[in-house]
Amino acid sequence: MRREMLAAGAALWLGMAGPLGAQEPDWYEVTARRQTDGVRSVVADIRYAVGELRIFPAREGLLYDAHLRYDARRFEPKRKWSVAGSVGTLHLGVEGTGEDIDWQDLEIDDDDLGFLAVGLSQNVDTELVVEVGAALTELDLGGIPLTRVEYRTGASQTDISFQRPNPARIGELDLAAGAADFSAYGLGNARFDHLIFQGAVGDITLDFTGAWTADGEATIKMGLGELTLRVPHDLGVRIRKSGFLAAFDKDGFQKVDGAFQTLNWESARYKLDIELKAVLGAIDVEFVG
Amino acid sequence: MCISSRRSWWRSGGGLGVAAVLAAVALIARPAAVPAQGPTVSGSVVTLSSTTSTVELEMADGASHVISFRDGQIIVDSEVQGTYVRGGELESSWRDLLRSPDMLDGGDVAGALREWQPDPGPGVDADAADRLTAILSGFLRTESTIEAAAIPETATVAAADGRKVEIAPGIISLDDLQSNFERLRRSVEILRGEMSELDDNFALVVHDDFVIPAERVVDGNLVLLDGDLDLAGVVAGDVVVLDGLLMLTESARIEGDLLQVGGEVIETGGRVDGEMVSIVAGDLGDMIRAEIEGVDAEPSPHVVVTPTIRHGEPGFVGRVGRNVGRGVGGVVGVFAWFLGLGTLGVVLVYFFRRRLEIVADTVRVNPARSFGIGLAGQLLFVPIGLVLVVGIVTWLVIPFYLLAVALAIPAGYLAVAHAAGETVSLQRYSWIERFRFRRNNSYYYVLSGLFFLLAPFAIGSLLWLFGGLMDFVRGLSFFAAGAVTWFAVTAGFGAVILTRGGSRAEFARPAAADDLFGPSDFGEGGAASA
Repeated sequence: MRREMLAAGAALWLGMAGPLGAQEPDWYEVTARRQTDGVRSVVADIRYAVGELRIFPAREGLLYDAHLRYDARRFEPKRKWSVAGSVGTLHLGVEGTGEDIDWQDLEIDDDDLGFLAVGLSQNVDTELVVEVGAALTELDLGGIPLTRVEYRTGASQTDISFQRPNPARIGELDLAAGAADFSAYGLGNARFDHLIFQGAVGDITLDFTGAWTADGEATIKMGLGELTLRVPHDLGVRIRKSGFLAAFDKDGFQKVDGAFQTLNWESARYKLDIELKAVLGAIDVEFVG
Repeated sequence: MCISSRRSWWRSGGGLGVAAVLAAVALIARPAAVPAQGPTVSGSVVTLSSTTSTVELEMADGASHVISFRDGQIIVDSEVQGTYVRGGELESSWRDLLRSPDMLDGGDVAGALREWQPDPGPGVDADAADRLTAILSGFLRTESTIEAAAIPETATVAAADGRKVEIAPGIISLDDLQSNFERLRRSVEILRGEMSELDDNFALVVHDDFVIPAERVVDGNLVLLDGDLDLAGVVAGDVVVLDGLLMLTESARIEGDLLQVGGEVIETGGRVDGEMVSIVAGDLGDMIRAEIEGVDAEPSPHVVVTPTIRHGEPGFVGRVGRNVGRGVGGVVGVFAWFLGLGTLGVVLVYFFRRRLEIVADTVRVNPARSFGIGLAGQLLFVPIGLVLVVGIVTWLVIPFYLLAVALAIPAGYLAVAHAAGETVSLQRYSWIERFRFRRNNSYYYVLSGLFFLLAPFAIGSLLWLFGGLMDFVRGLSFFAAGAVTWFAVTAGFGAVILTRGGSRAEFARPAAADDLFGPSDFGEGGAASA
């Protein structure tokens, strides 16, 4: 079903971008890299409509390392690098060409969609802004010094992970997903001050394991779906829940002043304060570690 | 295909300095020295274990390199340069090389490495082998060719605008040089849309093996047409690699961009101030290669990409969507059957109303008898067919037999629908009265009967909306729907047989009430007259 959703989303996007057809694709592969060069911080603005998107830590010494495969008949790559002072800005993505072809004959399969893989520096502070349409998205952000993350997606399948601690600290980790299956693992390693998650419809997993170094806050808004929160045992968690028809698994929590908090809330070294708004669905909390 | 019209990765613009260079090609005429060859490895250490095979090389210039096969990765000077199949041909060949007397006893290490030619066959190992041999070639060539590079061997060409363009190595015939320039000119024309940031006023054009030593500064752009180029010095502009191998060593610096449209670039260090861009696949690469080779472009072999797709059970949305899809799809399917059978029923009523009513009345009046005859007919269908086949003459009847059965089954089913619709209609159910649903004609009977017969299928389909909660009820509904359908088909089939296709009405009881409503053939004979 995820594939069907993705294909439907891709067809919708392609339909809006321009009529497309069953012509033979004209594949291009382009890589673009830049070595670290006196830039203190980078704003990476990545917009990708259809296909497979990966973001990962670049190898040592590289500011960015982008690898794009696209069908030149249907898409046009966009890349712009600019430097102002010590701040570099990278705009990267693809746009539809709007070629006038009968898109109803388009058959979308994996090889038709192309991919964009972007490596980001492990040494330069980065503000990451990602907008994704109908894509398979895999973000391995561990080890990238992130100071801000903004991720927006429509009908996609998203896997975000912080397998290694963030060398910097994220002020606001802003995630939004439409009709999507979304998972974020190792959010403890993300080292955020405030996590904002907005999900419309879908299966959502937010895993807060990792190396916590400070308290954090999270605002989670859910429409319809199943939300799973994975929290480490030693993390103090407090949940203020509002909404209707959203079943909440209260095992391991006690109710204090209208909020649900873990038994170790007062004694925990680090705390996560969650404001949870859910309309319809199930909210499961798993204690791990 | 027009390349320049749809490329926006690079900006457009730039002049064609190559033409200016071509204008001065005839001025070339200077031979150069042939680079010396010889061992450049002053020491080596080989380490072999079950998981690792490593050689550490000490070069004559004091540099050192470590090449290691470890855990499926080929690591050169701490950089992963490729992967290999464990236990495969490439690893075996590499281990054989390290076990060779030259490597273990410190003989001609450079010679052994230079002569090593793994043949792993196609696949991952082949790519890794090519890359590794290129790297080794670079390591082993550097020292000797740097010495050779000290010998002035570049030719200088005066361009039309008075600038000087170096051609390196200088040993080249006039024809070859003209040919190389023509390749460059064509390539630049093709690439104009892709590499418009490139200032194509080249200061140095390399067409064969060449070294730019550390102390050398190329004041402008450089293009590598072919051959192996070791860059240890500085290029104060852009570098374009059309073909061949560019080796960036530790001291190399490119102050502009590095654009690779063919060949290979190996970084063992060095610095590129600008962007490093490679376009090595797709039609563009084919066109350039074709232009360089002077042949028509072949269709591009599409690059095979295997995206990482998660497989597994669908999640909440997936399950809901799947169930909604099944439910809606089932109802749509039932509706399609209703339309199809309803149309057939209308046709039957229009052309064969009397016969249809006789069959329907027979089912209604004698359902058990009709069912029994229908069941017997089903059981005897095959034996009768076999008898017809065996008979000498009777086989001619087989098509008619099959056609009769094929017509009798749907006609009987529709007759049952007619009977069901009529039965319901004759019951004065208060809810039907309330909605003024009562109609008394054969069209209505057939359609309403079909509605009731197909309803269990629709209900079963709709129960998909409740997912696993209604599995049992849904199964029960489909079972009931199947049973009702089988009974209807069997009884209808039997009634058709009993009435000889609706021509005999002795098993049908006349329904006088029918005559009060709408046109009917009962008065003309058939069931009514019987």
